Amino acid sequence: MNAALRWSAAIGLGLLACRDAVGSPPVERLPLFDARDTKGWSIAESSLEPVADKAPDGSPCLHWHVTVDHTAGEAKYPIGWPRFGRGIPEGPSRDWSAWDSLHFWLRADTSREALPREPVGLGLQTPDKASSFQRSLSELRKGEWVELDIPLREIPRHGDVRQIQFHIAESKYQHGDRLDLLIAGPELRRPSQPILVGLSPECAVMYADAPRIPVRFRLAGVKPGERAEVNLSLRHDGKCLIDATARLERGEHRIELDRGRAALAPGDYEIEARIAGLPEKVAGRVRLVESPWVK
Amino acid sequence: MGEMRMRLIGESRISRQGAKTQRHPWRFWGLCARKFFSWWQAIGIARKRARTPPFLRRLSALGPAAMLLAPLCATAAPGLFDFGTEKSELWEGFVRVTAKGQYDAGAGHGWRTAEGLRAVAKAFRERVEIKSRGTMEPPPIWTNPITEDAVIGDRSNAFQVRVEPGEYGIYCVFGTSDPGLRAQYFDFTVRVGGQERRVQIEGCYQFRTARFRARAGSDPLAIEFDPASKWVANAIVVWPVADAETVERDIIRPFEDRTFLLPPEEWSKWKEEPEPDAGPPHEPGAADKARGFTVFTRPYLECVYPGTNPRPGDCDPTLRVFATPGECEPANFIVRPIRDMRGATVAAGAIGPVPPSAIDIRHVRYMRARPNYTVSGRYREVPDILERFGALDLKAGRNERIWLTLRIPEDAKAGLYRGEVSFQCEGATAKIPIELRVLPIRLREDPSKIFGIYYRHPLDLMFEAKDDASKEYFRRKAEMEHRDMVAHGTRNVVLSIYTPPADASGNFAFRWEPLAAKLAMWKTHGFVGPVVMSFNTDGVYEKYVKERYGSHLRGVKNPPPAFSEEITRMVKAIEVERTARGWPEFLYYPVDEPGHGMAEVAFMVTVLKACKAAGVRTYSTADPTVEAFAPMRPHVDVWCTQPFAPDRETVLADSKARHVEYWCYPNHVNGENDHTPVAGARMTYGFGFWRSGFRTLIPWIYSSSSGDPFNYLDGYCQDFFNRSEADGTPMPVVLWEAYREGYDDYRYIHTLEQMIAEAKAKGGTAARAAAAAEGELRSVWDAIRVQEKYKHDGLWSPAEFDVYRWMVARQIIALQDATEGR
Repeated sequence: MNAALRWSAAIGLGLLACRDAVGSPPVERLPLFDARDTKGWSIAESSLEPVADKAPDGSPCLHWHVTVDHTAGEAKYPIGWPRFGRGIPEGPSRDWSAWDSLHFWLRADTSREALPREPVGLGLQTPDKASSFQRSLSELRKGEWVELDIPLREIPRHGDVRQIQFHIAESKYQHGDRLDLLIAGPELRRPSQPILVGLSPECAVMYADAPRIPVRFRLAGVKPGERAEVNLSLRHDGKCLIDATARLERGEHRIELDRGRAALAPGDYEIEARIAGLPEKVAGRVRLVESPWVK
Repeated sequence: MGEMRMRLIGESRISRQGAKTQRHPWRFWGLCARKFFSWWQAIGIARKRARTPPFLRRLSALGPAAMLLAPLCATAAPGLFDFGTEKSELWEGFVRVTAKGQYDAGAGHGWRTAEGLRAVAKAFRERVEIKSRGTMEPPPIWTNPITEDAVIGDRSNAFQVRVEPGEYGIYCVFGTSDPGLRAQYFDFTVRVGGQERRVQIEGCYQFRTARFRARAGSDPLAIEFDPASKWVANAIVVWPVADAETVERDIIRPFEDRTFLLPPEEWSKWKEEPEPDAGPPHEPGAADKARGFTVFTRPYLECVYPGTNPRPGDCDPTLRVFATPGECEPANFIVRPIRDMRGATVAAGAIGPVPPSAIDIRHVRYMRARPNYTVSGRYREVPDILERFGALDLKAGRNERIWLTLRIPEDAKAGLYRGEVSFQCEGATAKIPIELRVLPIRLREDPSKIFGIYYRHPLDLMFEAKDDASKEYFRRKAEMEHRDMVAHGTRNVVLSIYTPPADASGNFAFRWEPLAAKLAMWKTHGFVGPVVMSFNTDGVYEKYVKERYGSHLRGVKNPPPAFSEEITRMVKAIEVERTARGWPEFLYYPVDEPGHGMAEVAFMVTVLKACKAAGVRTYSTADPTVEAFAPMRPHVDVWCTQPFAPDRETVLADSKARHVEYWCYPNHVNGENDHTPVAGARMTYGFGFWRSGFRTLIPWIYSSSSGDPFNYLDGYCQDFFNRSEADGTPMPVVLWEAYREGYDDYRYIHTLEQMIAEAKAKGGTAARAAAAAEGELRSVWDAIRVQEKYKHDGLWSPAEFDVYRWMVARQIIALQDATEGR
């Protein structure tokens, strides 16, 4: 068992639970690698080392350095893709399906005035190169810590993730540019108690005579095999016009609020949802406009 | 199979043994057994087995029964005829028929006449080298012994087969693998007995089949060919009707799988990817169970896959459409059969001012498509082609989406109308109500914007074609495609002008005729310039560097100064002709998608400078935000880039400061890599385009095919975008319809913007209405989640698009009322 695997296993056994910030629900965390160790990483056209810097949450960091060189590197691609990546050991750490997000802290510095439009790319082999997930980390800003929390629903096939890689495309940079990236994580995260995330009407605008108002949200923090009761309502001027209740498992949900015989006038409405027994509520807005098919 | 061969013997055999066979069949077969045994030993069982097609292996596995086939196998089995050359490969068990094979009573088969016949062959059995990319790739198609060769005729002829009297099935295969025939349009009638089929095939790599049933008498059975241009045939199979099942299973199905899908050894390398989440299971109600199907709908921007489950709110829908006079608007419903059903039909009645003839009824054909352009080994079944709907057989649990396009007459009166579409299958009927609101609006075009597309112009093939029928086909195809483009808002295509490099005297030999024909068609259809014009940069480069520079300039070297001088002279010469003929402005397009290496960029600077030295504007398909292209910036007048990048503010500022234009070729919604971003396509073409600040949309390409245009897995890359019917009529894909809807969105927005400006100028009530309209338009603007590439994520939900369009339309109507004092 290599060091990384031991580290992952150890952390996997004792999941960290902490409260990120006041008002946020507590989260469980599963670091994928030991940030103090660079042995397991493969590095190309760049360098990687552990550093003393800490992310804003105190997590240890790795420092990735690239000096962009448009003339060197792989013979076929002198303007290439400096990168560092790491295989994820076989076992439970490849299956992310019980988790909600992939989390990092990142800080990029550069000799340039600003980072290019697509400064760094993230690639995940799910499970292989042909079926990889690619995402540009365009949230990065020069000299600023950025917290990235990528919902796993955005990563198809996240039940079998075998490699993680960060890279830049040298074509996005000028010859001689330098990039220094501090990275803390990656780790998987999930809330440790039920929570509604991303509640929104399927349509922000709808016809007022639509028979149903579909609402989408994600229910997180529910243990496998368990359900939580979710109460939804459509409101106008503080008055509940339509409501619905559903007992749901963890995951993405789409619930239709059935208008029934209720006549809804054009205007702005609020959609509210809460988990039964919990005080927090989440809300979204929908605008109903007069239908073209009204006589 | 055995019985079939027994009866399809040559004339001499029939005369000698036929009577016995009819009276004492088993005695006849017993006599043949010894002959079979010696033949079987002679050819070597093991070797033969390894090379024998599955259907023959199955026959051999019959053991003693197979021995009864002895005389037929030993005499190369008449009834199975493979047409081609003397040397091309022969499908095992088939008889070779060449262009010289005139009917011979002894052989019992052959052409009525050998006059006007020729055989062609082009086998594709191995990967092929693509020099420009420096790679080995799959061939355009994988041929097999039947499809690798053919016999072609230029006059009426017939293939004759001597058979015993009786009822026969006939199966014919038509087409050619020879790329030298790409400009040939095969148009002919095949006639057997009283039945006939018209066969139309453009060029190479496509194969058609036809089945007939005929009664044979004492004369040979004749499969007659009557060409409008030329005819082509690869194979004919003739069998007694009693053997239909065996022939279908052992010959036709294996052949069609090899031909229309892939050879088994290639197909085994491909894996199907799962459909997207189908949603919660659907339990049909009692009425649906009784009639055998569920009817539901989804917004047309939402892809419906074979297994997508209906949601309760989707079922038994009323279809609702609003549109302006002259506009086309889609509507759809989906049928989920509970059991296999045959002969489904759809009929539409009039919907107010829209007569049934103005309602185009199609169904969405699922295609096996790669997940990306050149990806091999993985495919998805995706909704893609809008195929003309006649009647369909339905498979249990597999959705069939019916796609209606309502063409609102120009003179349609505003109002609310109702009608219905009826779906019928096996005695059950579903009537689907439609509500149509015709709006009192005339949409306006924005002359400052260009909607164009890359295009492989059929007129190029017209000029290559050898016969009048082929020439007329390509001319008509180009006409129909131009009309189709205009109907989808597209009025600009990329063109090219060819000349070899200058000769020793410095003269060019331009081929003006094709360009002139294309620009005449351009004018006829009201296309708008400027014209993106590619020309022979690579040829001039080769003249001076003695090699080609390769795809994306992958092997480019620094050319001598004479290269630049010749490019400048070539561009000047084109400009002289353009001016003399009164053609629109040309944007000179020397290289497509240059690489961003130092050598490539340096070459681009050289060639762009050479163009500009002729006093023209240049066009470059490169992303201006890629820093490696910075040296090109002073020399590029029109940047054409895939994403909407840079952002609107940068685009507008640069356009104002340097008169540079930003065009977009949104290939991510053209099917090059994904056939399903339908909502992304509409967003790109309408609200997203409006928000981007770009001047032009010009995706690649109106139609792209590698190999068989209806097989997206053959060739080195997948096929995408519009297809053609056999007569050249355009066959749209769903993405193309989404372009039109995006274009219409843009026209609604532009109309409102214009009317706001006019109302403001008018003052009073109109100006107050304009302020309200401006506020509403701003709310739509603010609702757009700006992206460089609108594809799947972060878009409005499919149902929202029409609501936003309606919000714009309401303001147009309100402004009309205010300005006209209604």
